[in-house]
Amino acid sequence: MKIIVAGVKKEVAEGLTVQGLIEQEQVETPEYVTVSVNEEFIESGTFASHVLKDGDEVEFLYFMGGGAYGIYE
Amino acid sequence: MAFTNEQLERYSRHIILKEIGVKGQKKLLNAKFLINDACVMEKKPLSHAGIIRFKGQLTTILPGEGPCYRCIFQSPPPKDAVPTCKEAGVIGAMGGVIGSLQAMEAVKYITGAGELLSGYLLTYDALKMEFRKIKLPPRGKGCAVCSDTPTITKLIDYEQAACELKH
Ligand SMILES: [Zn+2]
Repeated sequence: MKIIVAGVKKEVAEGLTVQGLIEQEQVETPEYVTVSVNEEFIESGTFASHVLKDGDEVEFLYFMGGGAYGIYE
Repeated sequence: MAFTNEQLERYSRHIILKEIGVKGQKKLLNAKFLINDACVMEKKPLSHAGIIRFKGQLTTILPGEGPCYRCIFQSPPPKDAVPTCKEAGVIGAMGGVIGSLQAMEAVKYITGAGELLSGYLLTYDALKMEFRKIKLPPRGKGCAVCSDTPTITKLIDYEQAACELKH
């Protein structure tokens, strides 16, 4: 099936879960990434059980801090 | 809700870089949540941005309209769980690029011109030289601070929490 990951069309296996996609895409800091599918947030507790469907649009939203870490330390 | 002078004094100290820096970087990480919560409670707009290495992101939060920071990132990750600029580094020009975009959002908010980034996360990947404007899910659903039944109704005193850890 085809899904769209971060704006890019990809061919993936049927039955792929959000968790599976996270691993496949080698997402950085996977425990703290926010995932949306078709413009809906997916609860992190359901990553392993959320099965993706053909045509799904997936976005990974990464937690990013500010630019001032440690400046005054 | 209105803040007392004492609260304002205490919480505003969190957002002064010098003060945050002296006490360590953990609070700056949490300060994003603190500032978000304060803006949601006071219905004030907030420009959020983050930068690391060759990547940056920004959004404009209009409480009651678009998703807030907690809608996207529920709670602060534990210290050292996500790479910080200090460990991972950031290209100086990234601050210029993303900072200027934040300034542009502020100009638009003040003048009322154009469309703000409310409801969108703009991401910038300098290595690919690629901007993406990602549509965010609607606000509120299950959000601890901006849903119709929030569980966070007053500011979390992260400073106090940090001090308690030390004892
Ligand atoms: Zn929210």
